[in-house]
Amino acid sequence: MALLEVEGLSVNYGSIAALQDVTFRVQEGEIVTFLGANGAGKTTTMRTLSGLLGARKGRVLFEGVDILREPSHAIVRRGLVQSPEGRMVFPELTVKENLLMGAYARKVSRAQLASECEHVFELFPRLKERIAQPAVTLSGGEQQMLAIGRALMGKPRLLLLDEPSLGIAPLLTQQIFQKIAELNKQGITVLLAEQNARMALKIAHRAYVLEVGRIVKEGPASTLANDPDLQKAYLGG
Amino acid sequence: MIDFLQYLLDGLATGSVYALIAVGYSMVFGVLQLVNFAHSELFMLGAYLVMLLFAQGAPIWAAVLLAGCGVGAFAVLMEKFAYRPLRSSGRLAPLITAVGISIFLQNLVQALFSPNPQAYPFHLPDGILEFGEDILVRQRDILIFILAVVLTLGLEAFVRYTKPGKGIRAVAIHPQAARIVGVPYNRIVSLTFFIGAVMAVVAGALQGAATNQIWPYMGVSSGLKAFAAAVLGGIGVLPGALVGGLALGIVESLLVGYDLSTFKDGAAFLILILVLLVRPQGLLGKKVLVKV
Repeated sequence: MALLEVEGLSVNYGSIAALQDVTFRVQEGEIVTFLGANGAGKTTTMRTLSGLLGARKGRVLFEGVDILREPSHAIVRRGLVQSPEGRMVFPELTVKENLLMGAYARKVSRAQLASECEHVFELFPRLKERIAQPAVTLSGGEQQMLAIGRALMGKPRLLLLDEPSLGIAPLLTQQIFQKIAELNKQGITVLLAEQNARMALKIAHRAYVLEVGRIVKEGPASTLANDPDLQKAYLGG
Repeated sequence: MIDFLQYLLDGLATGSVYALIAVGYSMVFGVLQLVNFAHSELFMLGAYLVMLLFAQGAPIWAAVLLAGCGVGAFAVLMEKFAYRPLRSSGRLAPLITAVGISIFLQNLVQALFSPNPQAYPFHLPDGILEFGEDILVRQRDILIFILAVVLTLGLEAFVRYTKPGKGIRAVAIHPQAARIVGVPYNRIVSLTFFIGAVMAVVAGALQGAATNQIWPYMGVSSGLKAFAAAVLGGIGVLPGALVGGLALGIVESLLVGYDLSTFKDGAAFLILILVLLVRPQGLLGKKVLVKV
């Protein structure tokens, strides 16, 4: 049984179909990436998985349970946690407070939380330097680290990462992708939505290509990286 | 100078009642960006319900507690059935709904209790304390003031240090992000309405006890002024509600003291307009930082 199985998912914005009959799966231990242009439906998929958008039809099985109609907090509690597009940190809360908010849905001791914060700081030492600063004063890259760190505080079994490279300097993007690969090696399954296909295919095991709300291609990352159509469309020749 | 101090003290009790109502306006606005104009009527309902329960022989603390739970439950249902279905329909629809609920509640109470003012059965100690030579303060004013300060600051502590409180704060700061980290959004919204209603009930009981009468339209003037007070203090900021309420009470008292009582009821709205022009975030509100 796959960790996440999505079957025939269709989502509408009003009368406009944003996702049509999308079917995919994520196995335990994988990094799976969604590729596609702006508006292809990557973020819609992510938001639907997290319970932020309602679907018209379909099933979302997480560890075998259909979570499609569950409220967002119940989904987080199951261990399906998202670092959203645009980062969405709490601007006037400090770095530390943001991280602690990430554990809101869990019942854990203060000591446990403190040690988990330290774990995030090991991964992103930059955050430790800014621990008492309001998140709004962080650079885009640091905010992205914070958003990922905050998601980690939710103890994800499946980590959803929506456009972690958006608006971030290339060097920093590379670092963040290294960290994602590292996290995966530590046992966290990752579903990644990314416009930067080259970068995403480097760390992913498998990929799905979305176009106007439909999956048009899927396969192992290495195969897709050499796919001539894909190279033309997303990898710059 | 003595006169000035005296007027200032006279304004504290009225201001405290404004502050307790303002808290509810402020919190609900904080989480939903909704001006719940029906909140004024929760204050009025609270005053009536406490009166009923007290007349049935309940001790005052029990009457306030029961009325708080009753009106609180009503507020939660109101949000669930009147506002929640309108969440995705812009700002105007819920605003009009709020006005509709207000009018409905005013008429309901009018039908049940007659439009005439009712004498309030419950009284606060009305001894007078003397300070120095010429300053006189009613015991009940001090009591009301202390109660308002304790409740508002207690609520601020609740929001800062407890888990549900942090949930309220998270929703107020960034509703999407709050849902993403697992804050139970709808439950937090319900809790906010409940707390605001309880505060309004306390305010209603205090108003009844202090002025010795209640009537179906008492929410219209006090409630709207409390809304102005919330904006003055900084809407969404709890200590702001306290500061705004007290400031407004004092201004009104000064106007009356210096023979300008004609302008008393207009002052709140003049202040509201000035605040919106000069310092829209209110006295204690922070300018919203936007970083792209």
